[in-house]
Amino acid sequence: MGRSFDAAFEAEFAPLHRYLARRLGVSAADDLAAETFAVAFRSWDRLDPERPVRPWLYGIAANLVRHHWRKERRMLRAYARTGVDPVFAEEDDAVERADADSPQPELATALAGLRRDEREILLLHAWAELTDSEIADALGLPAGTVKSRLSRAREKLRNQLTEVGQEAVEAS
Amino acid sequence: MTDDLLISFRSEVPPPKEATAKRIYARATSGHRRALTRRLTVGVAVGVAALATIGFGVSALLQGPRSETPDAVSVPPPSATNLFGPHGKQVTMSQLLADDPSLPLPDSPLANAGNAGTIWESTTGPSATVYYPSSGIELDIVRGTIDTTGTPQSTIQAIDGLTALVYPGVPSASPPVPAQLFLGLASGHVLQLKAFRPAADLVAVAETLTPKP
Repeated sequence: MGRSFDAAFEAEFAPLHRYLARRLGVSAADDLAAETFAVAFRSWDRLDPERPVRPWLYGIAANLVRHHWRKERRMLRAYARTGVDPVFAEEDDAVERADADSPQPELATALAGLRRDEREILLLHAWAELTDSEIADALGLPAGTVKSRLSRAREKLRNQLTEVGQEAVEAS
Repeated sequence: MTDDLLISFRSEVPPPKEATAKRIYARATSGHRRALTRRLTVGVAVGVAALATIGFGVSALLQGPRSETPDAVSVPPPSATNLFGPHGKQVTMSQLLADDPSLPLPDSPLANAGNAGTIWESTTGPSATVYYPSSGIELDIVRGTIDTTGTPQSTIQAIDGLTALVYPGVPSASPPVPAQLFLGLASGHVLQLKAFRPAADLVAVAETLTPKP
């Protein structure tokens, strides 16, 4: 028996929406998730029955998120600058969430400093919990390329956080 | 540490509400009512089953996402891993060499044909993963290229004239990160070595690859 679109929506909507919301905020996630599933719905009959649905959906979402990468970088930089995360700006307690001691603004700086493709792979791995081969499937990249880019992104992130930490120690 | 930070970053973002799920389902499928109607006409029973699934699906969404908090973000620990899913088959070293004698494999005390453990081979092309249990080294050969753009010079090395990226491990990280070496092969593949060992061990192993990559 073939897979149904409804079953895929049931299984994948909530995690996909949350992944998108972590990247661009809830409003943008509403739009991007709707568009992702609209594209999936239109293409459902042509989907290879052997192809896993999950990476395919995240691949569609990645194509849509690409149009927002400048906004994502702006949001990360704004968080680093102000300590208030724009992802939560639609919520009443956004300012209360700001924590001067939190290392998350430094992480926002580090994420904003990654190349677009590196950030994409890193967040698909960390937040969407896709495996290397699922990321390769989602982004249409060879698995080896995903592996090397993922390692490089993690290394860059680690180095940048170490640098920021050292600067903070020196400043204090 | 970095991985923990990344996992917790914006982890307070809530799962979508049931009303959002309903609204987005309607929006995603609304442009195709004609097609949906045709399918329902063709098979009423199928349509009823689908509607039942929608009802179940929306109620299931109330239970939240499948995974609220990922356990860990890490390079998988070196092990006997089938990277190829349904296209992977477990083989012996003799079978691997017979299937693709051009695969460059190490011949060092740490990793050689005699001390190889589990081996997986792809049925769709010259790709394989080999685990060497005595040294804890895992070797993967998969299709791909090395992209050095933006890579710190300190991680780039040349091995037998080919570009390699070498990352020292971070055993103190949570979870620990193994040392890794990526070598771009002329065949359009990437060879990866990883282990919880000094990166120099991986370089030494890569220098013994036979046939020369």
